Amino acid sequence: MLGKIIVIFIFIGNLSAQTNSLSVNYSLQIGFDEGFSKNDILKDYYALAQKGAQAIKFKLEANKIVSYFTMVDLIKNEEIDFAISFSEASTSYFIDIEKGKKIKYESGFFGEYMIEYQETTNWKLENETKQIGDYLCYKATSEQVVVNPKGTFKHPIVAWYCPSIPFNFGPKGYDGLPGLVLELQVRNITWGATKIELSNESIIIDKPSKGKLITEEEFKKIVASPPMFGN
Amino acid sequence: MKKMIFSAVALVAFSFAGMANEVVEKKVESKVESTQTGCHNVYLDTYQSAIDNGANETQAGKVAWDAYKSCTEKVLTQT
Repeated sequence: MLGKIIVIFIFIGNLSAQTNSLSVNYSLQIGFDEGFSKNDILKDYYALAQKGAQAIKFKLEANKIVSYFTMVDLIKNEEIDFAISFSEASTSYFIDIEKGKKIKYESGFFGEYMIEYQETTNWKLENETKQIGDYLCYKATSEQVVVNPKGTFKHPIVAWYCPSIPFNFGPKGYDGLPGLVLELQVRNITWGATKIELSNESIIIDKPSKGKLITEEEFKKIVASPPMFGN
Repeated sequence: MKKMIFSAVALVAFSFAGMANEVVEKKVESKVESTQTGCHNVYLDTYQSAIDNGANETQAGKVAWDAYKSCTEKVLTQT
């Protein structure tokens, strides 16, 4: 009997050890927000964004070392445009753990840019669990600190990671947890896994080279510049 | 004599037609300019509201650009 149990454990161990790459689809949900939903100027745009979010999908591809998270191409309309802007869905994330490299790819009306960054998230691991599909996930929390000309704002981050999928990645470049993040909530925006494909094959994920390499500060100035007549 | 009168009438007619085109062009130019000025304010108000409500500068800029685009499209389709 004991022998059988040991064999079963070795078999399970081999299965998880053989998972070398994955491809995960995520959906987007934009929830009610105390600030945006009640503001006279923003509320209509935010309501459009909430509708548009339903059409937006993302893909995370990863091997044990590298991950790439990006929005799936789609035909846009006004609702989708606002959803993309409020959730910053047009930003793609490339992470190479081995080289310690993190790159954000920004594309939109302003052009295409690559931005190297080094942000890490200070996670607090909680005991709470949640079943997502076939996977038992654990809760981790953190805070998104936004420093803007008005002051400093702190928005809650909740991630549900799954230790039985041994990849340290997640949506929106959130990484560093002991398992793949299947659900992520930042402020009131949620990215949820809808399809998970695990593979024994180790896929190669090349670093996309698109756009001009600039700093975060330079990019902020470009995006925050008001439109000029003729634009 | 008839030819001269015809030429004079034609000249006056073409002159008026030319002036009318100019008036229309000026009206269109003025409309585009006022649209851009109005929508420019929409951009600024949206940007500031997003910042006031805790958006980062990149997010605020993107939302404000969409508001500007939405404004210009709406105004131009109404004309």
